[in-house]
Amino acid sequence: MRRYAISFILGLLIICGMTWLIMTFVSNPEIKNLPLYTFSTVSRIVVTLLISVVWGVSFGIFAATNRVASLILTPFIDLLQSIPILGYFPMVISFLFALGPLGVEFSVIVLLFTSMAWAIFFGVLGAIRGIPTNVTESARSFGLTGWRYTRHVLLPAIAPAVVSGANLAWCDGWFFMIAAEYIQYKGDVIAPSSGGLGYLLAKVAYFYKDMNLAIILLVFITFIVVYFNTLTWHRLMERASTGTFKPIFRMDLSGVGKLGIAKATGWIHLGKLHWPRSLSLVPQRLRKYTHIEKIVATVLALSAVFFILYTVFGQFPTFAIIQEGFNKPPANELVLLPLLIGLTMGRLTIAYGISLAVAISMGVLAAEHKRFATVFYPLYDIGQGVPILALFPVIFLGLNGLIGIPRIALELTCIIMLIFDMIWYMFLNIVSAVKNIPTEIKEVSQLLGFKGVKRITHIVIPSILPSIVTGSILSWGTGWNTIIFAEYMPSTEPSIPPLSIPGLGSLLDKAGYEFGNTVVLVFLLSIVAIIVLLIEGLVWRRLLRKFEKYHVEV
Amino acid sequence: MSVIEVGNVSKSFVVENSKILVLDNVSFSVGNDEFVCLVGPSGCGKSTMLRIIAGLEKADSGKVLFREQPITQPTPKIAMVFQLFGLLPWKTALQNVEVPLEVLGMEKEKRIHIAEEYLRMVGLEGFENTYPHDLSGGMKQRVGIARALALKPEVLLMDEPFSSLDELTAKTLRELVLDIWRNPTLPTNTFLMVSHNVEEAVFMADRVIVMSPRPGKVIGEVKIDIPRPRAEYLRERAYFGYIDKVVELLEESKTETKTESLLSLTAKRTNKL
Repeated sequence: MRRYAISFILGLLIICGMTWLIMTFVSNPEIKNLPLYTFSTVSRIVVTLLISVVWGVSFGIFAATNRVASLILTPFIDLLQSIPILGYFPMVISFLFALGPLGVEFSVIVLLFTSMAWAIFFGVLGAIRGIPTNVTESARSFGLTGWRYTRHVLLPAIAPAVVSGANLAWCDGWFFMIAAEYIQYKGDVIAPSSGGLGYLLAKVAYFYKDMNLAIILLVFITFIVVYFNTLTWHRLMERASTGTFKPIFRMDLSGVGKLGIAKATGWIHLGKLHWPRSLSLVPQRLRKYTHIEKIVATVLALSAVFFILYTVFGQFPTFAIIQEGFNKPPANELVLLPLLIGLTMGRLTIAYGISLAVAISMGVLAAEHKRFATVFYPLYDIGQGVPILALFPVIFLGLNGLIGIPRIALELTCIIMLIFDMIWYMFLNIVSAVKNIPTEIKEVSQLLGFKGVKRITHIVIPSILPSIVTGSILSWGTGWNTIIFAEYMPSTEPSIPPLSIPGLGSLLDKAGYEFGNTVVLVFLLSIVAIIVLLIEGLVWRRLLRKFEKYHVEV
Repeated sequence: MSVIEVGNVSKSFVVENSKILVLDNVSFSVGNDEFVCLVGPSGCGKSTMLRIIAGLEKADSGKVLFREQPITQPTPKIAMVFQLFGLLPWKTALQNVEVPLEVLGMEKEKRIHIAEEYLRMVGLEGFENTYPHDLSGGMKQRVGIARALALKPEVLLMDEPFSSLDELTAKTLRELVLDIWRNPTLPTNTFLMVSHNVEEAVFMADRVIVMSPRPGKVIGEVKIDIPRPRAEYLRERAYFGYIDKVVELLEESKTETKTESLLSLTAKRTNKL
């Protein structure tokens, strides 16, 4: 504990020193607020983190122990989490903006909460559901009920999930902070009155176009994230994963850096396995029908949808607002929706393909060559701490300076951002899989003389396939988030229109920030949610089930 | 002439910066056509000994010879059967048997033919295209045995091959293994098995080598002189006499060592899995 306190104070001192250095040697009118901005950003994240942990743990336990609560809460929260968080943003802003400066502060916290809470909730849910029956039964036979049961079984069981979930939330918080603190709403730049590091970074990059200072700030932010990550979370992870739980539940949270995240996300996906499955069953159900039955079913379904739409939009006067929303801009751009979806999906696919190739080759390299791994893991650990969204202004500024055509620069920035963002999730999962190849499998491969390419194709790749799927699900999820942010760039001054490249994400931003058109916004959000769920149900779930058999039971 | 010769082998592991001696001057040999069992309490290093013979680990000192040649790396002449089967979950039963042959550079038709033949021998006809996930524990171990035999090794090493199976399945598989050992048409006729089940060892082996708790030392050897097949002698006094002899040796060594140190190594082994 004493060593921890010393490291903590040392970290604070380093941050103070860095602040002083930056303030002394940089001449920028905004820089005098650096201490205040740092403080407000950090406290915002800490406060939201605490709220998220309390909410996640209490609701997680509630949903895991109460059938009715589980039936209602789980699908609802699952739906909420499948919508990209940044998509809520314009909506929350337009609702809370009316409250004035406090409203802005509040909306930032709400947004951070939506980025933090789900992981903890599903982690807790999965951990409780994952308690082996022999443990629950023995606890019951010894008469552990109520609070005693909670204290001796539930809380220890969820501790690793809470720690890794909170760690994930800490990183996510920094990720979204940058997007949450600098917003252009109907022509005005809106930021919390107490400012923030995200605001400062955006201002420096967009308004002052000061590349050097932007990079300095980026390093500053990264240091804060990485230092306290290593200091606090790693220690907590170690404590949570050793001690009493590990031998019972076989949880292995130790390992390189934040690999606990892989576990946490594993639980998240365990927790929601039951939900989108129904969607993926639709084609299977359809396959049982004959040709004519299929046509009849399709016609019936279509007419039902048409009827509902007709009644909702055409008949009820209360829905005149919706009609009105679809008459105002940017509804006129909805004609191009298929094209926009295609463009956005194209960007995501390109970025995904590149990240997949790079992550697999790096993962395999790390598995095959210990020396590569020892050099690469720490690098990776630091890279993971960089709040990716914070890179956005910096990369754009750099590329724009190089190319000179803002639109092309933005297009490239968008794809680079997506790659940076997706690759970590892929790599995270692949590395943890590579590390967790069971000893017996390794011994067998050695004994049977697998070497080189044969070893990679017969042993390494198949054993990481399930994790590639999990990584893909996660990286597409985060990719959707990032693209909403990255297709659209707030401008430097109210008089200049914001820069955007055509796509689903930028249309969403326009609807929200430029026109405040909630109807179109909700419509677009539901489209995004449908796409996300469809891809998950039709592609990822199937692959997951197919590769389920690849797990070695130990 | 002995097929395998182990002389003064010592081995230690480094766990959390402290060195733990697991094998201390172990010597024994296994002759041609012999079935030898290594018996000892958990954590006595018998599995490590087996892995050194397989070429998976290196001894710190001492010699390990296979037909007078030192063993430095895995060889197809020495095959191994694992406690948890060690099957590749992404390959069917047939592919699991076939894959080591592919590594040897055998052409496809021939290796499929061999794999089918060995699967039939262990009684898995009809399960060629089933994945390990869908096989029972006993069936998985049958695949494991078929895979080891398909390499036509001279020596078969078995690391507690029946300890993760239920007793009835284990009994059937013991008979299967003994049948294979006695089968004169198969080239594999030298068997070395690690076990902590004394009855099993006495039932199967020609010789039982008893090891002490960590650090593992050879503390005795019991030659089992019961005619084969032994199933009909299982109720006779001689059988129980051998069991008592082995158990006595194990009990003697137990009093000399602290149980405490045992626990830590068991924990280490579990982590490794």
